[in-house]
Amino acid sequence: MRRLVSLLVALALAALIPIPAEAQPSTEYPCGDRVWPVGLGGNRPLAGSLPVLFVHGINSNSGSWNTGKRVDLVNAVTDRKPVTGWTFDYGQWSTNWVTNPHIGPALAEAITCLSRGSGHQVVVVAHSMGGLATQFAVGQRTPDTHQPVSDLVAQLITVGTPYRGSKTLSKTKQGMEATVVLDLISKVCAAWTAGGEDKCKASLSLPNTEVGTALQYDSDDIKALPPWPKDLPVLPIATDIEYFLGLRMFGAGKTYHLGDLIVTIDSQTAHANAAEPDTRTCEDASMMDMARTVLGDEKTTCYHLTQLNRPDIHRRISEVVAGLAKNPPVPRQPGPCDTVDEAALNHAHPLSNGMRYLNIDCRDRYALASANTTPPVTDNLKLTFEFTDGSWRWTGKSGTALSCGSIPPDVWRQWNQSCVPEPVSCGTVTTANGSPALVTVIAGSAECELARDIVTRYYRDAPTHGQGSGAYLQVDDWTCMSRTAGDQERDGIYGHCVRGTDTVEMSRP
Amino acid sequence: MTRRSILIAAVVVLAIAGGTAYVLWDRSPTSDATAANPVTPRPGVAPPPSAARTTDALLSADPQARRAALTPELAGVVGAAEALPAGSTITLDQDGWREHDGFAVATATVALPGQSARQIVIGFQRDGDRWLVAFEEEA
Repeated sequence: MRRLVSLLVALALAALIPIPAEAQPSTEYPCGDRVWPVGLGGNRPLAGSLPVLFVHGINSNSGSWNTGKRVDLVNAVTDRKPVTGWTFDYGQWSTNWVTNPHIGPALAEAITCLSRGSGHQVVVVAHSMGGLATQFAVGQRTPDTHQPVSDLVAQLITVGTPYRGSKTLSKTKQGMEATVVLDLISKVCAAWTAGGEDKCKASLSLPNTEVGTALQYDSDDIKALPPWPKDLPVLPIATDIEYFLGLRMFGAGKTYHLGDLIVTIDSQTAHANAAEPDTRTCEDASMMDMARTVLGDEKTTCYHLTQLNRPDIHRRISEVVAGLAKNPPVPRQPGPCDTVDEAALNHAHPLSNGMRYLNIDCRDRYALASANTTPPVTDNLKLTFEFTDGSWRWTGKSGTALSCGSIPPDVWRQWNQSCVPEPVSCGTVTTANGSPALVTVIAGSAECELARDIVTRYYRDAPTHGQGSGAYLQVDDWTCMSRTAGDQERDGIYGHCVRGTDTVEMSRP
Repeated sequence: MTRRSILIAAVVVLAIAGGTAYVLWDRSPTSDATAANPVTPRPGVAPPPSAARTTDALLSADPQARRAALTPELAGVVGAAEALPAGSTITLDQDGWREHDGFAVATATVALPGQSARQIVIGFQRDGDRWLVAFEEEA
């Protein structure tokens, strides 16, 4: 008896000993405990499969793909070899913006893991904000090979994604025509329900959290997301509720398009390059049906939280996945930009011993490396490289404020870096006193022809219309001025014409 | 002592095993924070007399009176609607008024001469001591 007691106690104590993560079944959850198998393909091995990753939206979690009619979608998509279904979960952090390490970056890791584990590109099916989390993820690079994560994605299908945020839920609504209808839904919802007024309010407003701010229409947070990779096929699926506001018995009123009540059509379809956006319309909706749907009684399948219940959307997504399953696409092979590393750049540009390269970013044939040296020169030193003749070469550009050089402006933008344009000499014009002046564009992107025209007209009109001791004069949308005679004599700079970030300098030839 | 020890040990094992199972089970998200939990409707009550006066105004032959029965927002989209035929009636249901914070939805029956009666829903917005029509649609 004493042995039995000891055995039971030992069993109890054994249950308290934590099991190392490595001891978890690796075949079932090969990409960590936030990437779960789902659907009919959940029992197939990842290796050799076409992985389909389902990404949920705000205020949700990956369990939503196992709930209600979304199960039909998941099963329809994964009901064929060699498809495997997976969910990515960030429910614990869904009050945060997609840049949170547990959302976008973690999703990038999940995509990378599924692609490498399967040997194929991944299909991502994202609902709502899951599409924006994916936008962030595909803008990242794998930490080891620097390969764009977008190379690992075959297709992104979004449903109800607010590519531009939610105009409906934004505080200002930006002059939205349907505001009157949306306000009515909220009031009808609250009047109809007993005790659900808070739910009505919460369902039709953005939360007062980080993500609530970020999802404002055309927010700075959305604009700051990485640009969509050109080669990544994206199919947006949208739903649109059509509502006739008026007096139906009189046949008088006006029809409004409300999107899915949370996201307007323009935002749901703002990005598409796989096919035309797929919009499903719910015609002739009623105010009562919309209010009751918000309350959880599904009366319309075009609402943001019910759109994934539509069999026609299930079919469309299944068809896309079925097409890819016939011949699962493999990831693009890394190119020279993807394999740039510290050793390659050190070999290309051995400036000094102890040089370290950090945050190497590479686009097309250009690489930007943030670097520092031993002893340190500066923490912000940057160097640029160009891949020519099969190897990386230093462009000769380095410093803290790099000149734009021959690297195209869009590459600088992709790096999220600014560059200093090199002065452009535009030849001479005649000043008001008849002497020549050299015209130089020292900042901005003004063409020489325009710069010369502005300066010529300035010197023509300044003697009669210039104001003050600086002879200030507006020439079109430029403001021109002359420096004092003493200053001109001292350094040879006569004056400037300025328009926004454009600056033209007049100087002694 | 022996029976009691076995019982205590068994309880400990069950408690720990149960707790462990819960923790492991809970790692798998199975619930949806957005899942629908339908809310029951508010009980309907009798409409206030002023609401009936508003629906009477809708039947007026006078366009100004009809327009005055509408919220400014609805009047803006309805425009100059034709009057309903003489003899038409709108009857608010005596148990169909649901109101919250100055807004109400009400069920009603509209009958036009020569046609069968239809059930409708009318949204009302309170304006001082009046109730103005904010929308109307078929039930």
